[in-house]
Amino acid sequence: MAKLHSTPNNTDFNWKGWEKISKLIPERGWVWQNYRTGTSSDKSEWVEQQIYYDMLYTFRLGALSPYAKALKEGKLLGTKCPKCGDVTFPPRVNCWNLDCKLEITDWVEMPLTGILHTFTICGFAAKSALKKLPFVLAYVLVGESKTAVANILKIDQPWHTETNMPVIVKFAKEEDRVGNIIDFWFEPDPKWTPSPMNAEKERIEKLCQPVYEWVRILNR
Amino acid sequence: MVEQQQVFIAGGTTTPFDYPVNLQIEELVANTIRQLYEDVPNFHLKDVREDGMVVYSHFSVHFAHQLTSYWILHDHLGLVGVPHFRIDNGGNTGGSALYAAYALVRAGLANVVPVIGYELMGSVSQSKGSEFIAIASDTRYEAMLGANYTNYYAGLARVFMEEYGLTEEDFAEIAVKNKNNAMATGEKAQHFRKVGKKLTVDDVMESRLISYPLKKWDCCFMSEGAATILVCNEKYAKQYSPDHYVEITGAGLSSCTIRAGDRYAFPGWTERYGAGYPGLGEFAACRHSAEVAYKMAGINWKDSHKQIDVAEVHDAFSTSEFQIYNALGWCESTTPKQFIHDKMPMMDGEIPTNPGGGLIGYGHPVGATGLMSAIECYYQLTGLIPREHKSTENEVKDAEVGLVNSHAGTGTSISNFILQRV
Ligand SMILES: [Zn+2]
Repeated sequence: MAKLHSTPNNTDFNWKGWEKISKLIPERGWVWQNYRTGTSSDKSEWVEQQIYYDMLYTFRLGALSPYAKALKEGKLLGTKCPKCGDVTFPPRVNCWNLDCKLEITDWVEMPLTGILHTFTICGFAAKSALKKLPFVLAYVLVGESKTAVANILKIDQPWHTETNMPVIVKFAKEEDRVGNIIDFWFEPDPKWTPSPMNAEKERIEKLCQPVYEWVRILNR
Repeated sequence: MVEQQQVFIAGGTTTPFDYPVNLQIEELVANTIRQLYEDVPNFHLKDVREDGMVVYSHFSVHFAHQLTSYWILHDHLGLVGVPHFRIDNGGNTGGSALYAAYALVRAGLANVVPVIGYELMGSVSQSKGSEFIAIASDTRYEAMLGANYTNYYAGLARVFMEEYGLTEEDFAEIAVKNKNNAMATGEKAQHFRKVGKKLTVDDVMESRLISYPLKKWDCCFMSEGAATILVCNEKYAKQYSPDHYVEITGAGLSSCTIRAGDRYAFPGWTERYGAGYPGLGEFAACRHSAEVAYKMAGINWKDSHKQIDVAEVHDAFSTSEFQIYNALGWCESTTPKQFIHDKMPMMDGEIPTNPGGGLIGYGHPVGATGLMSAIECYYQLTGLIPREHKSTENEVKDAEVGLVNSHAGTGTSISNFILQRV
């Protein structure tokens, strides 16, 4: 018998609790409309309508649930294939090797250390992250993982970020954790010291200055 | 019993790419078809009704605030009863739709297939728009970080930079090339419409930081527009455009991981290309799809940059265009550093790349983008540049063989085509 991911009965869900949440954040659908008009330089008229439409998403995590629960507990769970032994973080609940025929993987606790593979210093990002600029987005190989994971590297002077630097995993305060990727971030390993300033670091430092200024204005 | 047949491009046209535009999708697309009627007088949608299909190329339902928006277009064009479907494959939507049309004609299932691409992105604020595009990354692991595609690409570029000893200035050369090529392309190109002047490497270097090593002028901008390209068999190609048709002699399509971090040691690639490839700095799906297309067209990997006369590639960022050169095998007999130093992709170089301006210069309304690249390449191979650009400044004279590249995600889906002047 093939081992399959379980398919819980829908009565196993706490629907009542979900209804309560959707009352707390009510969905109102096509909420608001507005109308604007004007004339273009070629004398053609334009009409514009603004429509606000809202929705509340529910993500059900299924086989990934242990990963999310572990984040709440301040642990990183990766997966290991019982057949080929490949370890990955982020987790893959079936093995990626075609020879393993989608073998269901085992959960393994990852060490809270990694090596930074590549990075960028963000001077612009999604709306929700603008006030954190400039921040470092890093791709990190956690423990023995064969995949790198993207997350924020918190470092005082972003221009000192270096490839192959050792990093550690830091978790948000327990009460702030929500069971997804933003529950943790990376920081330089306290034992690591950056190499001296060089031309690239100086250049990045210079590029960052207007970003700091812009964010200061944004925060006002 | 249907038989395999050769596949041709007999025409194509785009709307101006701009942002935002005051047009509905019906008008945008109707404009491309009406223009096609003018440019290709023998073409008729009735042929499509009797002997063809339509492939729609459209990326984002979020931007369209409408599911299956191509159903609206199909009705509007009067094509009820004609088979249709839509391709969405991220940034490679246009290339993938072209691939689908190629496959249909090649297989003999249809003889004339207009590929109609469009994207309206001004329906939301620019920052919301970037967020919508970021939803094409894995929302559970990536999008929630507050990063967007520019940030991911910059991360991929940084490791590529380090590996080949490249500098910001090397990338800036590419950005300037594409912006300035777009000035010769003229009024349809976004850079011409919006900025309207040539830029220098200094301009790029002094522009604001977006995500190191990318600055503002290294990036393409949010755009809106439509494009239609006419894919058909030999009979229709000769009937429609006896003097202006090209053959699609090679077509490749490949894929890579959605999360760039997962390709560090992906089994499928390490088995094919050896350990360490592609890592995060190389576009394996580009290399693989190019190998397929080159083989079909009889192009040698090592000499590809000599055998191809002109290329239109997916330069969402100046850095990714550079990574594409490498993935297409063009740096095989040299180094990436030397390749740009020798000005190989410039207008007077060995392989002029993005003479039309590319995404950085022409624009990137996702569903229309890959088609725009194919159409620009088609113009180059058929001598139509003077007619279309009203300039010969970015014409590659006597070009016989062209390459079209379309690219999605962080290199997650990539197609390459070889077009041959007939
Ligand atoms: Zn396995």
